[in-house]
Amino acid sequence: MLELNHVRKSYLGSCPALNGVSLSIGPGEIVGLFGANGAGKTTLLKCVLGLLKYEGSITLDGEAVTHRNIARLSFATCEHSFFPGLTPAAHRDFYREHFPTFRERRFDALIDFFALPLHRRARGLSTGQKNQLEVTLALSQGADYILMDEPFAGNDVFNREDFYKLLLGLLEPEETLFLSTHLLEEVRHFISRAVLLDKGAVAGDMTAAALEEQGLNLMDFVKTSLHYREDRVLNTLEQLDDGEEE
Amino acid sequence: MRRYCSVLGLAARSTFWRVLAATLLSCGAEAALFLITLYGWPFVVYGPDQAWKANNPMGLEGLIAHSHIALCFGLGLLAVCAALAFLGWEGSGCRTGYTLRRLRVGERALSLLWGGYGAACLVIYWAAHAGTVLALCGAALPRLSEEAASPLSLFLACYRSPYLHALLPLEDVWLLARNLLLCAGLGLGMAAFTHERSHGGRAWGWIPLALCAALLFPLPMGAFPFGELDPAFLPYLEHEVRIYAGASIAPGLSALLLTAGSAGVLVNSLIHIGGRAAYEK
Repeated sequence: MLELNHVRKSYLGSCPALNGVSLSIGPGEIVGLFGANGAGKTTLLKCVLGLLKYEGSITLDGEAVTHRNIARLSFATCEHSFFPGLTPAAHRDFYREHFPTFRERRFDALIDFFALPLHRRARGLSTGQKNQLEVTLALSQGADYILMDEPFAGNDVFNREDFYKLLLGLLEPEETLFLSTHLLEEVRHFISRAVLLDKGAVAGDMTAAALEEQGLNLMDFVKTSLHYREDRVLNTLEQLDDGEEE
Repeated sequence: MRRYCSVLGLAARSTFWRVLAATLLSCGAEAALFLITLYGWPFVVYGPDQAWKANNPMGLEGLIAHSHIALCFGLGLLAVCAALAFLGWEGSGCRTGYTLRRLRVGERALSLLWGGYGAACLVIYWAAHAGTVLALCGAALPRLSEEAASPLSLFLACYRSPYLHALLPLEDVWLLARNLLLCAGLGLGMAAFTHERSHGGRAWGWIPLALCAALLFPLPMGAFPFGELDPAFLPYLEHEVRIYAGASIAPGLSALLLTAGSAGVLVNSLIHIGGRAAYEK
Protein backbone atom coordinates (compact mmCIF):
# COMPACT_ATOMS: atom_id res chain seq x y z
CA MET A 1 0.00 0.00 0.00
CA LEU A 2 1.34 3.42 -0.97
CA GLU A 3 0.16 5.93 1.60
CA LEU A 4 0.50 9.69 1.50
CA ASN A 5 -0.39 11.62 4.64
CA HIS A 6 -0.75 15.39 4.65
CA VAL A 7 1.95 15.86 2.02
CA ARG A 8 2.83 19.52 1.62
CA LYS A 9 5.31 21.03 -0.76
CA SER A 10 6.15 24.66 -1.42
CA TYR A 11 8.53 26.10 -3.94
CA LEU A 12 10.42 29.25 -3.04
CA GLY A 13 8.48 32.39 -3.86
CA SER A 14 5.26 30.69 -4.95
CA CYS A 15 2.06 29.39 -3.40
CA PRO A 16 2.05 25.78 -2.13
CA ALA A 17 2.33 23.21 -4.90
CA LEU A 18 0.86 20.52 -2.63
CA ASN A 19 -1.38 21.48 0.22
CA GLY A 20 -1.90 18.52 2.53
CA VAL A 21 -2.49 15.69 0.07
CA SER A 22 -3.58 12.40 1.65
CA LEU A 23 -4.08 9.30 -0.47
CA SER A 24 -3.91 5.52 -0.19
CA ILE A 25 -3.22 3.47 -3.27
CA GLY A 26 -3.47 -0.29 -2.96
CA PRO A 27 -2.00 -3.12 -5.02
CA GLY A 28 -3.57 -3.73 -8.41
CA GLU A 29 -5.18 -0.31 -8.79
CA ILE A 30 -4.89 1.68 -11.98
CA VAL A 31 -5.19 5.25 -10.77
CA GLY A 32 -5.55 8.21 -13.06
CA LEU A 33 -4.25 11.49 -11.66
CA PHE A 34 -5.93 14.47 -13.26
CA GLY A 35 -5.87 18.21 -12.83
CA ALA A 36 -5.24 21.45 -14.64
CA ASN A 37 -1.72 22.64 -15.44
CA GLY A 38 0.01 23.62 -12.19
CA ALA A 39 -2.36 21.55 -10.04
CA GLY A 40 0.60 19.65 -8.54
CA LYS A 41 0.46 16.32 -10.37
CA THR A 42 4.13 16.14 -11.31
CA THR A 43 5.18 17.50 -7.91
CA LEU A 44 3.16 14.78 -6.20
CA LEU A 45 4.80 12.01 -8.22
CA LYS A 46 8.26 13.46 -7.58
CA CYS A 47 7.57 13.62 -3.85
CA VAL A 48 6.55 9.95 -3.88
CA LEU A 49 9.85 9.10 -5.56
CA GLY A 50 11.85 11.18 -3.08
CA LEU A 51 13.04 13.52 -5.82
CA LEU A 52 11.73 16.55 -3.92
CA LYS A 53 11.72 17.50 -0.27
CA TYR A 54 8.28 17.65 1.29
CA GLU A 55 6.44 17.84 4.60
CA GLY A 56 4.15 15.03 5.75
CA SER A 57 4.78 11.34 5.20
CA ILE A 58 4.86 8.94 2.30
CA THR A 59 5.17 5.25 3.07
CA LEU A 60 5.31 2.07 1.09
CA ASP A 61 3.77 -0.79 3.07
CA GLY A 62 4.37 1.20 6.22
CA GLU A 63 8.02 2.03 5.51
CA ALA A 64 9.45 5.33 4.39
CA VAL A 65 10.71 5.38 0.81
CA THR A 66 14.49 4.96 0.92
CA HIS A 67 17.11 3.34 -1.28
CA ARG A 68 16.14 0.01 0.31
CA ASN A 69 12.66 -0.05 -1.21
CA ILE A 70 12.87 2.56 -3.97
CA ALA A 71 13.24 -0.19 -6.58
CA ARG A 72 9.61 -1.11 -5.84
CA LEU A 73 8.72 2.13 -7.63
CA SER A 74 9.38 2.87 -11.27
CA PHE A 75 8.89 6.13 -13.10
CA ALA A 76 8.14 7.07 -16.69
CA THR A 77 8.28 10.79 -17.29
CA CYS A 78 7.97 13.03 -20.31
CA GLU A 79 11.28 14.55 -19.15
CA HIS A 80 12.85 11.11 -19.85
CA SER A 81 15.01 9.36 -17.29
CA PHE A 82 16.85 6.87 -19.50
CA PHE A 83 20.54 7.17 -20.36
CA PRO A 84 20.88 8.95 -23.71
CA GLY A 85 24.22 7.29 -24.49
CA LEU A 86 22.89 3.75 -24.09
CA THR A 87 21.01 1.68 -26.63
CA PRO A 88 17.78 -0.08 -25.64
CA ALA A 89 19.78 -3.33 -25.54
CA ALA A 90 22.34 -1.75 -23.17
CA HIS A 91 19.48 -0.44 -21.03
CA ARG A 92 18.14 -3.99 -20.80
CA ASP A 93 21.54 -5.24 -19.56
CA PHE A 94 21.85 -2.35 -17.11
CA TYR A 95 18.35 -2.78 -15.68
CA ARG A 96 18.78 -6.55 -15.43
CA GLU A 97 21.86 -5.94 -13.31
CA HIS A 98 20.28 -3.37 -11.00
CA PHE A 99 16.70 -4.54 -10.65
CA PRO A 100 16.46 -8.20 -9.67
CA THR A 101 12.79 -8.36 -10.63
CA PHE A 102 13.43 -6.97 -14.12
CA ARG A 103 10.88 -8.41 -16.57
CA GLU A 104 12.96 -9.26 -19.58
CA ARG A 105 10.18 -10.94 -21.55
CA ARG A 106 7.97 -7.90 -21.08
CA PHE A 107 10.83 -5.65 -22.18
CA ASP A 108 11.36 -7.67 -25.37
CA ALA A 109 7.62 -7.77 -26.07
CA LEU A 110 7.27 -4.00 -25.68
CA ILE A 111 10.34 -3.32 -27.81
CA ASP A 112 8.77 -5.48 -30.52
CA PHE A 113 5.38 -3.81 -30.07
CA PHE A 114 6.83 -0.33 -30.47
CA ALA A 115 9.28 -1.55 -33.15
CA LEU A 116 12.11 0.23 -31.34
CA PRO A 117 15.62 -0.19 -32.78
CA LEU A 118 17.45 -2.28 -30.20
CA HIS A 119 20.94 -1.10 -31.08
CA ARG A 120 20.50 2.63 -31.65
CA ARG A 121 21.54 5.02 -28.89
CA ALA A 122 18.59 6.51 -27.06
CA ARG A 123 19.63 10.07 -27.95
CA GLY A 124 19.21 9.18 -31.62
CA LEU A 125 15.58 8.08 -31.25
CA SER A 126 12.62 10.27 -32.24
CA THR A 127 10.57 11.95 -29.49
CA GLY A 128 7.83 9.35 -29.82
CA GLN A 129 10.35 6.52 -29.64
CA LYS A 130 11.98 8.09 -26.59
CA ASN A 131 8.59 8.11 -24.85
CA GLN A 132 8.11 4.49 -25.81
CA LEU A 133 11.51 3.50 -24.45
CA GLU A 134 10.79 5.40 -21.23
CA VAL A 135 7.48 3.58 -20.76
CA THR A 136 9.04 0.23 -21.70
CA LEU A 137 11.70 0.64 -19.03
CA ALA A 138 9.21 1.70 -16.35
CA LEU A 139 6.96 -1.27 -17.08
CA SER A 140 9.84 -3.75 -17.28
CA GLN A 141 11.71 -2.69 -14.15
CA GLY A 142 9.67 -5.15 -12.10
CA ALA A 143 8.31 -2.48 -9.77
CA ASP A 144 5.15 -2.95 -7.74
CA TYR A 145 4.13 0.68 -8.24
CA ILE A 146 4.55 2.19 -11.69
CA LEU A 147 4.34 5.96 -11.78
CA MET A 148 3.83 7.71 -15.09
CA ASP A 149 3.80 11.42 -15.78
CA GLU A 150 2.38 12.33 -19.18
CA PRO A 151 4.24 9.40 -20.71
CA PHE A 152 2.85 9.85 -24.20
CA ALA A 153 3.19 13.59 -24.75
CA GLY A 154 4.02 13.75 -28.45
CA ASN A 155 2.91 10.25 -29.49
CA ASP A 156 0.33 9.59 -32.17
CA VAL A 157 -3.20 8.57 -31.18
CA PHE A 158 -3.04 5.05 -32.70
CA ASN A 159 0.08 4.16 -30.73
CA ARG A 160 -1.51 5.45 -27.54
CA GLU A 161 -4.79 3.60 -27.97
CA ASP A 162 -3.08 0.33 -28.86
CA PHE A 163 -0.73 0.75 -25.96
CA TYR A 164 -3.53 1.17 -23.41
CA LYS A 165 -5.18 -1.96 -24.75
CA LEU A 166 -1.91 -3.82 -24.48
CA LEU A 167 -1.31 -2.51 -20.98
CA LEU A 168 -4.57 -3.98 -19.70
CA GLY A 169 -3.42 -7.42 -20.74
CA LEU A 170 0.14 -6.83 -19.65
CA LEU A 171 -0.20 -5.78 -16.02
CA GLU A 172 -0.16 -8.45 -13.34
CA PRO A 173 -2.99 -8.27 -10.75
CA GLU A 174 -0.63 -6.98 -8.04
CA GLU A 175 0.93 -4.26 -10.17
CA THR A 176 -0.26 -0.73 -9.49
CA LEU A 177 -0.25 2.06 -12.03
CA PHE A 178 -0.40 5.71 -11.01
CA LEU A 179 -0.83 7.67 -14.21
CA SER A 180 -0.83 11.44 -14.52
CA THR A 181 -2.27 12.62 -17.81
CA HIS A 182 -4.49 15.18 -19.50
CA LEU A 183 -5.82 12.62 -21.97
CA LEU A 184 -9.01 11.83 -20.06
CA GLU A 185 -10.96 10.43 -22.98
CA GLU A 186 -8.26 7.95 -23.84
CA VAL A 187 -7.79 6.50 -20.37
CA ARG A 188 -11.42 6.57 -19.15
CA HIS A 189 -12.03 2.89 -20.02
CA PHE A 190 -8.71 1.85 -18.66
CA ILE A 191 -8.42 3.33 -15.16
CA SER A 192 -10.00 1.83 -12.05
CA ARG A 193 -9.92 5.05 -10.05
CA ALA A 194 -9.67 8.77 -10.71
CA VAL A 195 -7.93 11.23 -8.37
CA LEU A 196 -8.33 14.92 -9.11
CA LEU A 197 -5.92 17.55 -7.93
CA ASP A 198 -6.75 21.23 -7.78
CA LYS A 199 -4.36 23.87 -6.45
CA GLY A 200 -2.30 21.24 -4.66
CA ALA A 201 -5.20 19.53 -2.89
CA VAL A 202 -7.32 16.47 -3.65
CA ALA A 203 -10.50 17.80 -5.22
CA GLY A 204 -12.02 14.43 -6.04
CA ASP A 205 -11.31 10.75 -5.60
CA MET A 206 -13.68 8.13 -7.00
CA THR A 207 -13.45 4.61 -8.36
CA ALA A 208 -14.65 3.79 -11.85
CA ALA A 209 -17.28 1.49 -10.34
CA ALA A 210 -18.66 4.31 -8.17
CA LEU A 211 -18.77 6.61 -11.18
CA GLU A 212 -20.71 4.00 -13.11
CA GLU A 213 -23.11 3.50 -10.21
CA GLN A 214 -23.85 7.21 -10.14
CA GLY A 215 -24.25 7.33 -13.90
CA LEU A 216 -21.38 9.79 -14.29
CA ASN A 217 -18.68 9.71 -16.91
CA LEU A 218 -15.11 10.69 -16.16
CA MET A 219 -15.24 13.99 -18.03
CA ASP A 220 -18.37 15.13 -16.15
CA PHE A 221 -16.83 14.12 -12.85
CA VAL A 222 -13.66 16.08 -13.62
CA LYS A 223 -15.56 19.13 -14.81
CA THR A 224 -17.82 19.16 -11.75
CA SER A 225 -15.03 18.56 -9.25
CA LEU A 226 -12.75 21.18 -10.75
CA HIS A 227 -15.61 23.70 -11.09
CA TYR A 228 -15.16 23.96 -14.80
CA ARG A 229 -16.89 27.07 -16.17
CA GLU A 230 -18.72 26.10 -19.36
CA ASP A 231 -19.39 29.74 -20.18
CA ARG A 232 -15.84 31.05 -20.13
CA VAL A 233 -15.30 30.69 -23.90
CA LEU A 234 -18.55 32.47 -24.64
CA ASN A 235 -17.78 35.23 -22.13
CA THR A 236 -14.36 35.86 -23.64
CA LEU A 237 -15.74 35.99 -27.18
CA GLU A 238 -18.49 38.37 -26.08
CA GLN A 239 -15.94 40.62 -24.40
CA LEU A 240 -13.94 40.70 -27.62
CA ASP A 241 -17.05 41.51 -29.66
CA ASP A 242 -18.01 44.33 -27.25
CA GLY A 243 -14.52 45.78 -27.55
CA GLU A 244 -14.67 45.80 -31.34
CA GLU A 245 -18.12 47.46 -31.40
CA GLU A 246 -16.94 50.28 -29.14
CA MET B 1 30.21 -6.53 -7.55
CA ARG B 2 28.86 -6.63 -11.11
CA ARG B 3 26.39 -3.95 -10.09
CA TYR B 4 29.25 -1.60 -9.15
CA CYS B 5 31.07 -2.46 -12.35
CA SER B 6 28.00 -1.61 -14.36
CA VAL B 7 27.72 1.90 -12.87
CA LEU B 8 31.43 2.37 -13.52
CA GLY B 9 30.76 1.21 -17.06
CA LEU B 10 28.06 3.85 -17.30
CA ALA B 11 30.58 6.51 -16.27
CA ALA B 12 33.16 5.18 -18.70
CA ARG B 13 30.68 5.14 -21.58
CA SER B 14 29.81 8.79 -21.10
CA THR B 15 33.32 10.18 -20.57
CA PHE B 16 36.04 7.74 -21.61
CA TRP B 17 36.36 8.81 -25.23
CA ARG B 18 36.39 12.51 -24.30
CA VAL B 19 39.06 11.93 -21.67
CA LEU B 20 41.08 9.83 -24.10
CA ALA B 21 40.78 12.49 -26.80
CA ALA B 22 41.91 15.26 -24.42
CA THR B 23 44.84 13.11 -23.26
CA LEU B 24 45.97 12.20 -26.76
CA LEU B 25 45.59 15.77 -28.05
CA SER B 26 47.58 17.27 -25.18
CA CYS B 27 50.29 14.60 -25.48
CA GLY B 28 50.40 15.20 -29.23
CA ALA B 29 50.71 18.96 -28.76
CA GLU B 30 53.42 18.36 -26.18
CA ALA B 31 55.37 16.16 -28.63
CA ALA B 32 54.96 18.72 -31.42
CA LEU B 33 56.24 21.62 -29.28
CA PHE B 34 59.13 19.55 -28.00
CA LEU B 35 60.22 18.38 -31.47
CA ILE B 36 59.92 21.90 -32.94
CA THR B 37 62.20 23.17 -30.17
CA LEU B 38 64.56 20.22 -30.57
CA TYR B 39 65.06 20.70 -34.32
CA GLY B 40 65.16 24.48 -34.14
CA TRP B 41 67.65 24.65 -31.26
CA PRO B 42 70.33 27.38 -31.82
CA PHE B 43 73.64 25.91 -30.70
CA VAL B 44 75.19 29.38 -30.91
CA VAL B 45 73.32 32.52 -29.91
CA TYR B 46 74.29 35.96 -31.19
CA GLY B 47 73.75 39.31 -29.56
CA PRO B 48 72.39 42.41 -31.37
CA ASP B 49 74.38 43.16 -34.55
CA GLN B 50 76.36 40.02 -33.79
CA ALA B 51 78.29 42.04 -31.18
CA TRP B 52 78.76 38.87 -29.22
CA LYS B 53 78.12 35.20 -29.58
CA ALA B 54 77.82 32.42 -27.02
CA ASN B 55 77.49 28.66 -26.97
CA ASN B 56 74.02 27.43 -26.21
CA PRO B 57 74.48 23.79 -25.21
CA MET B 58 71.38 21.63 -25.55
CA GLY B 59 70.33 19.98 -22.30
CA LEU B 60 67.16 18.09 -21.54
CA GLU B 61 65.92 20.51 -18.89
CA GLY B 62 66.60 23.45 -21.22
CA LEU B 63 64.65 21.75 -23.98
CA ILE B 64 61.71 21.10 -21.68
CA ALA B 65 61.74 24.66 -20.34
CA HIS B 66 62.05 26.31 -23.78
CA SER B 67 59.41 24.18 -25.45
CA HIS B 68 56.78 25.22 -22.84
CA ILE B 69 55.30 21.74 -22.88
CA ALA B 70 53.98 22.21 -19.35
CA LEU B 71 51.33 24.47 -20.93
CA CYS B 72 50.00 21.50 -22.91
CA PHE B 73 49.75 19.52 -19.70
CA GLY B 74 47.82 22.31 -18.01
CA LEU B 75 45.37 22.85 -20.87
CA GLY B 76 44.89 19.11 -21.29
CA LEU B 77 44.25 18.75 -17.57
CA LEU B 78 41.51 21.38 -17.76
CA ALA B 79 39.94 19.59 -20.74
CA VAL B 80 40.02 16.24 -18.92
CA CYS B 81 38.47 17.82 -15.83
CA ALA B 82 35.73 19.44 -17.93
CA ALA B 83 34.94 16.07 -19.54
CA LEU B 84 34.81 14.33 -16.16
CA ALA B 85 32.70 17.05 -14.56
CA PHE B 86 29.98 16.32 -17.09
CA LEU B 87 29.82 12.72 -15.96
CA GLY B 88 26.14 11.95 -15.58
CA TRP B 89 25.41 15.13 -17.54
CA GLU B 90 21.72 15.09 -18.28
CA GLY B 91 22.20 16.07 -21.87
CA SER B 92 19.68 15.40 -24.63
CA GLY B 93 16.94 16.65 -22.28
CA CYS B 94 17.19 13.58 -20.04
CA ARG B 95 16.94 13.38 -16.25
CA THR B 96 19.16 10.37 -15.67
CA GLY B 97 19.33 11.30 -11.99
CA TYR B 98 15.77 10.01 -11.55
CA THR B 99 16.95 6.54 -12.53
CA LEU B 100 20.29 6.72 -10.74
CA ARG B 101 18.51 7.40 -7.45
CA ARG B 102 16.49 4.21 -7.83
CA LEU B 103 19.57 2.00 -8.12
CA ARG B 104 20.30 -0.31 -5.23
CA VAL B 105 23.96 0.68 -5.05
CA GLY B 106 22.83 3.90 -3.37
CA GLU B 107 23.51 7.42 -4.54
CA ARG B 108 26.42 8.03 -2.18
CA ALA B 109 28.21 4.86 -3.20
CA LEU B 110 27.59 5.82 -6.81
CA SER B 111 29.16 9.27 -6.34
CA LEU B 112 32.15 7.80 -4.51
CA LEU B 113 32.63 5.25 -7.29
CA TRP B 114 32.48 8.01 -9.88
CA GLY B 115 34.98 10.01 -7.81
CA GLY B 116 37.33 7.04 -7.86
CA TYR B 117 36.84 6.70 -11.59
CA GLY B 118 37.68 10.39 -12.09
CA ALA B 119 40.80 10.07 -9.95
CA ALA B 120 41.88 6.99 -11.93
CA CYS B 121 41.40 8.89 -15.21
CA LEU B 122 43.63 11.70 -13.89
CA VAL B 123 46.32 9.22 -12.81
CA ILE B 124 46.20 7.76 -16.33
CA TYR B 125 46.48 11.30 -17.75
CA TRP B 126 49.50 11.95 -15.56
CA ALA B 127 51.08 8.61 -16.58
CA ALA B 128 50.42 9.33 -20.27
CA HIS B 129 52.25 12.66 -20.02
CA ALA B 130 55.12 11.14 -18.04
CA GLY B 131 55.46 8.45 -20.71
CA THR B 132 55.31 10.99 -23.53
CA VAL B 133 57.96 13.26 -22.00
CA LEU B 134 60.25 10.31 -21.24
CA ALA B 135 59.90 9.06 -24.83
CA LEU B 136 60.64 12.56 -26.14
CA CYS B 137 63.68 12.90 -23.89
CA GLY B 138 64.87 9.48 -25.07
CA ALA B 139 64.54 10.68 -28.67
CA ALA B 140 66.45 13.87 -27.87
CA LEU B 141 69.39 12.22 -26.08
CA PRO B 142 71.48 11.58 -29.22
CA ARG B 143 71.24 15.28 -30.14
CA LEU B 144 72.33 16.67 -26.77
CA SER B 145 75.44 18.81 -26.66
CA GLU B 146 78.63 17.28 -25.34
CA GLU B 147 78.44 19.34 -22.17
CA ALA B 148 74.97 18.08 -21.34
CA ALA B 149 75.27 14.51 -22.62
CA SER B 150 75.98 11.89 -20.04
CA PRO B 151 74.58 8.51 -19.13
CA LEU B 152 72.79 10.22 -16.26
CA SER B 153 71.22 13.06 -18.28
CA LEU B 154 67.67 11.76 -18.06
CA PHE B 155 67.98 10.91 -14.40
CA LEU B 156 69.34 14.35 -13.56
CA ALA B 157 66.70 16.06 -15.70
CA CYS B 158 64.07 14.46 -13.47
CA TYR B 159 65.50 16.55 -10.65
CA ARG B 160 66.50 19.64 -12.58
CA SER B 161 63.37 20.26 -14.66
CA PRO B 162 60.39 21.35 -12.53
CA TYR B 163 57.91 19.89 -15.03
CA LEU B 164 59.67 16.55 -15.43
CA HIS B 165 60.24 16.45 -11.69
CA ALA B 166 56.52 16.93 -11.06
CA LEU B 167 55.70 14.18 -13.57
CA LEU B 168 58.33 11.81 -12.20
CA PRO B 169 59.15 12.79 -8.61
CA LEU B 170 61.35 9.69 -8.10
CA GLU B 171 62.34 9.84 -4.42
CA ASP B 172 60.49 13.08 -3.72
CA VAL B 173 57.67 11.33 -1.87
CA TRP B 174 56.02 14.60 -0.81
CA LEU B 175 55.58 15.61 -4.41
CA LEU B 176 54.29 12.13 -5.23
CA ALA B 177 51.80 12.49 -2.39
CA ARG B 178 50.78 15.94 -3.68
CA ASN B 179 50.08 14.54 -7.13
CA LEU B 180 48.03 11.65 -5.77
CA LEU B 181 46.13 13.98 -3.45
CA LEU B 182 45.48 16.30 -6.40
CA CYS B 183 44.04 13.42 -8.47
CA ALA B 184 41.86 12.30 -5.56
CA GLY B 185 40.72 15.87 -4.78
CA LEU B 186 39.83 16.63 -8.39
CA GLY B 187 38.17 13.24 -8.94
CA LEU B 188 35.97 13.50 -5.87
CA GLY B 189 35.41 17.22 -6.42
CA MET B 190 33.93 16.54 -9.85
CA ALA B 191 31.82 13.66 -8.50
CA ALA B 192 30.51 15.99 -5.76
CA PHE B 193 29.72 18.56 -8.46
CA THR B 194 27.61 15.97 -10.32
CA HIS B 195 26.04 14.75 -7.07
CA GLU B 196 25.07 18.24 -5.95
CA ARG B 197 23.80 19.26 -9.36
CA SER B 198 21.31 16.41 -9.38
CA HIS B 199 19.94 17.80 -6.09
CA GLY B 200 19.83 21.35 -7.35
CA GLY B 201 22.90 22.28 -5.27
CA ARG B 202 26.39 23.48 -6.17
CA ALA B 203 29.90 22.18 -5.43
CA TRP B 204 32.27 24.31 -7.44
CA GLY B 205 35.46 23.57 -5.47
CA TRP B 206 37.06 21.53 -8.27
CA ILE B 207 37.16 24.52 -10.65
CA PRO B 208 39.71 26.72 -8.79
CA LEU B 209 41.64 23.57 -7.92
CA ALA B 210 41.84 22.52 -11.58
CA LEU B 211 42.94 26.04 -12.58
CA CYS B 212 45.63 26.08 -9.88
CA ALA B 213 46.77 22.59 -10.91
CA ALA B 214 47.04 23.67 -14.54
CA LEU B 215 49.25 26.62 -13.54
CA LEU B 216 51.21 25.27 -10.60
CA PHE B 217 51.75 21.61 -11.48
CA PRO B 218 55.48 21.93 -12.38
CA LEU B 219 57.41 22.04 -9.13
CA PRO B 220 61.18 22.04 -8.59
CA MET B 221 62.88 19.75 -6.20
CA GLY B 222 62.97 20.86 -2.59
CA ALA B 223 59.77 22.89 -2.83
CA PHE B 224 58.38 21.12 0.20
CA PRO B 225 60.28 22.61 3.17
CA PHE B 226 59.92 19.39 5.12
CA GLY B 227 61.09 17.21 2.24
CA GLU B 228 64.61 15.97 2.73
CA LEU B 229 67.02 16.71 -0.06
CA ASP B 230 69.98 14.45 -0.57
CA PRO B 231 73.03 16.76 -0.15
CA ALA B 232 74.70 14.88 -2.95
CA PHE B 233 72.32 16.58 -5.39
CA LEU B 234 73.15 20.10 -4.31
CA PRO B 235 76.13 20.67 -6.60
CA TYR B 236 73.96 19.68 -9.59
CA LEU B 237 70.94 21.59 -8.54
CA GLU B 238 72.23 24.84 -7.08
CA HIS B 239 75.32 25.65 -9.02
CA GLU B 240 74.79 24.15 -12.47
CA VAL B 241 71.26 25.07 -13.38
CA ARG B 242 70.05 27.16 -10.47
CA ILE B 243 66.56 25.76 -10.38
CA TYR B 244 66.68 24.17 -6.98
CA ALA B 245 63.84 25.74 -5.04
CA GLY B 246 65.63 26.03 -1.72
CA ALA B 247 66.54 29.66 -2.27
CA SER B 248 63.08 30.87 -3.33
CA ILE B 249 59.83 31.05 -1.41
CA ALA B 250 57.52 30.89 -4.47
CA PRO B 251 57.77 27.13 -5.19
CA GLY B 252 57.18 26.39 -1.51
CA LEU B 253 54.06 28.54 -1.54
CA SER B 254 52.75 26.95 -4.71
CA ALA B 255 53.41 23.47 -3.29
CA LEU B 256 51.53 24.38 -0.13
CA LEU B 257 48.65 25.99 -2.03
CA LEU B 258 48.03 23.02 -4.32
CA THR B 259 48.43 20.42 -1.58
CA ALA B 260 46.23 22.23 0.91
CA GLY B 261 43.71 23.05 -1.83
CA SER B 262 43.54 19.38 -2.89
CA ALA B 263 43.02 18.26 0.70
CA GLY B 264 40.38 20.95 1.21
CA VAL B 265 38.42 20.00 -1.93
CA LEU B 266 38.70 16.31 -1.00
CA VAL B 267 37.23 16.86 2.46
CA ASN B 268 34.59 19.27 1.20
CA SER B 269 33.53 16.79 -1.50
CA LEU B 270 33.22 13.98 1.02
CA ILE B 271 31.03 16.23 3.16
CA HIS B 272 28.88 17.09 0.14
CA ILE B 273 28.47 13.46 -0.92
CA GLY B 274 28.09 12.03 2.56
CA GLY B 275 26.01 14.83 3.99
CA ARG B 276 23.11 14.90 1.60
CA ALA B 277 20.67 12.05 2.11
CA ALA B 278 18.98 10.93 -1.07
CA TYR B 279 15.47 10.75 0.36
CA GLU B 280 15.67 13.46 2.99
CA LYS B 281 12.58 15.43 3.90
